Amino acid sequence: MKNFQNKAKIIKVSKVIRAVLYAGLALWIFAFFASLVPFTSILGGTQQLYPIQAYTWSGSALMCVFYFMVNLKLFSFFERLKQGSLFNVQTVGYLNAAGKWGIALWLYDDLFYGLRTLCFQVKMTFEFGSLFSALTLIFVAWLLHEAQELQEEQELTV
Amino acid sequence: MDFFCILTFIFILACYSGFSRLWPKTRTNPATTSGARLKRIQDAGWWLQLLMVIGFLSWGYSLLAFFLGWPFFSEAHVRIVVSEHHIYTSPADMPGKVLTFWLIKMAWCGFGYGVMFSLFGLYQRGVLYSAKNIQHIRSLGYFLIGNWGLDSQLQSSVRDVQLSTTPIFIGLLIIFVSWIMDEGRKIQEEQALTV
Repeated sequence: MKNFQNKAKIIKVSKVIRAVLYAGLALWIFAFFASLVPFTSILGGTQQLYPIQAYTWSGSALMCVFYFMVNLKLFSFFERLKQGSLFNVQTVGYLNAAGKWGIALWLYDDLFYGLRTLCFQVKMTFEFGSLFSALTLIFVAWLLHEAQELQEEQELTV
Repeated sequence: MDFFCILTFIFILACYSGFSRLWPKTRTNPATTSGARLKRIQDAGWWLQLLMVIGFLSWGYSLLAFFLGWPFFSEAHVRIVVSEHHIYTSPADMPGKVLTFWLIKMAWCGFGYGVMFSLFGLYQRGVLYSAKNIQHIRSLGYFLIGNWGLDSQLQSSVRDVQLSTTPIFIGLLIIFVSWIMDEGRKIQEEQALTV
């Protein structure tokens, strides 16, 4: 298969994934405001929230921010791929950033459930799948970065 | 200080020692040669393989401890957490279906360990972009998706599903990235053959 055909195929698939991630961005914004809806009833004075309800809804709103950031970085990564910049510094940087936000999300997630257990005696379990995924992303980004610099050095060597 | 604390301390010390060997080279000497860069990747591969061996040994011991009722560090019994409300301390407590799915999951995790160990072994030998490397990275993506599927089946069997969809999405992403890497490798091979 010719080089340009390979690249065209990659750009085509990136375009589709980028569209899905774009919808994801809208979804997280919607979820953020939806998490704040129960608080409007307090402002209106029509209803009162139990402490655990207030904790869960406010925590969920903040969780949406973390999910939004991971989604945004992945969206930017596919945006770069769509533009044809396959694996330069900025593209790999977005993948790395997505992994780092993924770790932040995992930390926040466990902290959120841990505090809920401490304050409201709700059982919790630790989940390591997301951490493993985020670490794998960072590892792949690091590998691409190293390989890319290695290639640049080899090109400069006469 | 119990045995678990000592082991954690040794683990942290090994991680710190590994990273302190790799990290300063880039900070103090940014103009590294390709040889030094390759050496760093090989060192990282070696350290990651070592961590994999430690992880595999403790995982293997935890499995044996669960089946034979041995203590696990500071704990008197190994606890297998299937979901929030379904925690088991011995195979006899587990319903047949849960035990079957859990054993399949353990075998799948063994496959994951094998893939990662082999991948880091390739990096340790300085093999960065062979077809085998890409195949292993792709297998990692399949591992994440398969693991999610098994977790979902396991939790469905006790009717207590509580899963995040992040691993399935990241798994697909890794398969996609490995595909791009494979295409890049083919392009490079084509260019190398072009006179």
